[in-house]
Amino acid sequence: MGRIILRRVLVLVPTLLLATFVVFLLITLIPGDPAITILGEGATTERLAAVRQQLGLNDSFFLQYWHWLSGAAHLDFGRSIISGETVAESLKRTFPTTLHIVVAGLLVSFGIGVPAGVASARRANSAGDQVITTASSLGVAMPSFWLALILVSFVSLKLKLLPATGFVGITSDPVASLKHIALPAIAIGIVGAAEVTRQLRAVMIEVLDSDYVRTLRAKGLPMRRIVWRHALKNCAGQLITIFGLQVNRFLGATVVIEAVFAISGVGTLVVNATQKHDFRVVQGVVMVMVLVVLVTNLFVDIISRLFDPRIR
Amino acid sequence: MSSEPMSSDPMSSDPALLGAAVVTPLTGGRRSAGKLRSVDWLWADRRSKLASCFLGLVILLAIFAPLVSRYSPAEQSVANILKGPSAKHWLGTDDLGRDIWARLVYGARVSLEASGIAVGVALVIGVPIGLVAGYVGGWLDTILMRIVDTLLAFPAIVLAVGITAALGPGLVNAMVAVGVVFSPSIARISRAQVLSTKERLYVDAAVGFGSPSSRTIVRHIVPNAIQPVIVQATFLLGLALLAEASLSFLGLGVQPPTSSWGIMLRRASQFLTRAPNAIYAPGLAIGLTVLSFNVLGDSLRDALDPVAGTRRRLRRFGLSSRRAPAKPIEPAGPLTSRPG
Repeated sequence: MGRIILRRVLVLVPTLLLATFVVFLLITLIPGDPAITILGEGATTERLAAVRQQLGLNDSFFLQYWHWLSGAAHLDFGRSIISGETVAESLKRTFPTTLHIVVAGLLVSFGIGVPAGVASARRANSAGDQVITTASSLGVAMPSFWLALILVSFVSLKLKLLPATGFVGITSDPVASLKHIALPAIAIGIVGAAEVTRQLRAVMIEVLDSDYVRTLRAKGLPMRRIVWRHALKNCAGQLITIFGLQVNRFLGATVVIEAVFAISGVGTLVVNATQKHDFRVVQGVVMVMVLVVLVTNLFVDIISRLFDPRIR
Repeated sequence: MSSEPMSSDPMSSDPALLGAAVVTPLTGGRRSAGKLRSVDWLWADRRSKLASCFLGLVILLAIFAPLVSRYSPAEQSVANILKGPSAKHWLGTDDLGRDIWARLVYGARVSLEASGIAVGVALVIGVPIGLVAGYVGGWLDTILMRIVDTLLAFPAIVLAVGITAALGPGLVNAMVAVGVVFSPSIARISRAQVLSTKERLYVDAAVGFGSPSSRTIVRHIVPNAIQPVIVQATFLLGLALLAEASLSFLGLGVQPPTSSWGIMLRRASQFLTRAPNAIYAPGLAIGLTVLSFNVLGDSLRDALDPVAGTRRRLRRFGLSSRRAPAKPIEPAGPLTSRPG
């Protein structure tokens, strides 16, 4: 097992290097002179020279990449051209917020998705199953930010139950934090739950159809116990894989969700930076998100091996 | 979601289903036969029939937008700001007094065009990469697939935002970015198909008769490897629609005054307190269209893989599928991470 983990970690290194290269390439996609794109046509020559100096645009391509990479290796992604704040500082300020939303979204997603998927599979083709399957097909197709807008318009503006905007950290005030995070988490999580339900239903039906489940039933074990204690264990691999995919997906979804709820997380940071051509910030955010996804994938891989020794 | 009538003997009640189950899976089958069977299969299922009809309707509305709406999508009217539905304005008006129905049908044009661009770009990049990686193999395959796997780790929207940051906002730029983000999943599937196709006897025969690689790929491998790619492309059309909506919502996609479903939601969200109902039309349009693409993708996949497809359909009737040969469980839905 130790050797497998080691090999997986070693494979991560070239992938990460490649990811840094892709992220670095973003700046080379800019048509024309990046300094002019950033400052606009009317910028003075001194300002242009200063920005070129700051971004290292006078160096050769590989030297630029090397500088950026050696900084990125200790999470130093340079400075924002607009605010002057280091990208690391901005990330430190905003990342916990985004993490809150992603984690809460995952809780909603699996908290609803697992019971719904199990219930659906246990009574496959019943009326209840059809309701759940229909709902999950709809959920998968729904834009999460549209659901967010509906929630804001209904729960916040009409019923005035929960705040429509803002964010409070869970450590500073747990109650206020939960109130603020509930709607964003539901908006992302419902769509995720639909996905979990669909996938779990498909695997669970297969598992419940297997010989060992029949044996357990013949032994007289109650169905509830078979499902939750035995069958679910055999769906764990699939669930962990979905978990990994959803971390990726939710990180993307928060970008739009944060815009709906006016939450200043990483998503808001990158959208504002994009509008102001603040490339160092964009690169930093994209890099950190990819890093999170790759590390999650690593854990997903290792854990699914722990759960299922057949995967080698 | 199953809507077939329950029947004691579903197999005999549904000739298309029976026919598809008997036919051997698509190996070297002629394309015309494959097409006919897929259409039969789509029509045999009420869900996919509904989805096809809905998509057809949306496409017709988009094409004939000037005929089905009395107003132009950019026509402003100060007298009619944020009005509810009326005989003159079927879905009401937005914050500039523009007709929401007109913006919806003209927006369908832009939104569908946007997903078309994205999926087109994804195919143009992804298919050749997959073909080359699968056909040539060796170190080239290893390198290309490593790149593809790395790109799959990027959250779709975030990378698309990053690319628009460089290229500048705008519909075409945003959708090219989305296409780039989607191309790894196409490359993966094309490669897998090529790997299984190139071992076939007729390919060996073609190579043995001196067919050059390019001809072997184009004439013998592509026609037999393309179908799963089409299935994935169908799912991607839905995902691209969501991506367009997300990016336009963020102000990075379509620029005003052009109408798209995403930009309609953006405007509506800014006037949520005054006109809370304006969010429903564009949101429903997006949701139902994506749903239709998903249903269509599911049905196409079933049609192309009759053994697994029949098992899935039998299960809906509550019949056991144990006699069918065991296949590894495939994830339901597309491989790419979903944006939005």
